[in-house]
Amino acid sequence: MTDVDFASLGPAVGEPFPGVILPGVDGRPVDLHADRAGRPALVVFYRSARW
Amino acid sequence: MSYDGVEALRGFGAKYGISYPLLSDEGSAVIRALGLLNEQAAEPIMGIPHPGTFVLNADGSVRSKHFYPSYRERDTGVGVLEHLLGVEAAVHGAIRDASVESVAVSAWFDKDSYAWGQRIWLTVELDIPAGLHVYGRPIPDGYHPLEVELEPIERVLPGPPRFPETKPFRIDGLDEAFHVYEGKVRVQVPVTFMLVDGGTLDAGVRVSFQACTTTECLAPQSLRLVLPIAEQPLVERPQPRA
Repeated sequence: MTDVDFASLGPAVGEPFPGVILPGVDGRPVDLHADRAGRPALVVFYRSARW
Repeated sequence: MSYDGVEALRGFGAKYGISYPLLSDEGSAVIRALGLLNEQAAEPIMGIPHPGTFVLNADGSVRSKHFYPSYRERDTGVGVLEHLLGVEAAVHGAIRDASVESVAVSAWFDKDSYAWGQRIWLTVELDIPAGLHVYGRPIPDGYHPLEVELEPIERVLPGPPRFPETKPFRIDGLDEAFHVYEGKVRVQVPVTFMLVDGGTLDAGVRVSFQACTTTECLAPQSLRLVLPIAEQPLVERPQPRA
């Protein structure tokens, strides 16, 4: 596996995290920033819930 | 956020009692748009992101981001609180302590059990009484800096220790510049546990240092603390599938 430059992956430190609206577990859309409601948050990208 | 469908996430969330939002990026459109697609992942796992965590400030800007070189290695909840967010977690693993030359030394893992692939932090805290200081690096030859070392255990992989900032210190009549610690000092070592069926481990932690007053140095000290850490079994080991 070739080396990935992790520092350059995804939104940069200091930049606004982009808006994201995706379905949650009940199928209804979740707007990440609205759901956060002005609080700090962790956004975790993980491999899979199935395997 | 993952590339799983809603059904899979609902089942996963229910099974593990997950209370925070699980977002379904089926098709990986958002993963791609954010530049996080793992382009080296071929079928049947094409579409997975590089695994990582973004910490967002209250205003929605990115405070920090953290990627892991392997899907196997992950921070634990306490690790995230303390090392990504700078919040002291209330619960840790067992604390072991000792005292030598009036310097109190305590050590603990940030949790009392390990699971395969977890990165758990070892903290060693020195409480140096007023009037004494302990040397840090950089250090002239012949003097003994504060060092923390985990004794080797197969498949337990310590990373480089993190030391706090030192204060500069000069002794009248000596040219050399010293860098010292005073008061309470914490050194933290990330430890990745890559073993299964290891059972409870007795982790030996060696702490060495030299304490001095402004006019004289005490003998260099080395002490050993033993921290037990239990094994938490894996929940299951599924195989990759599309």
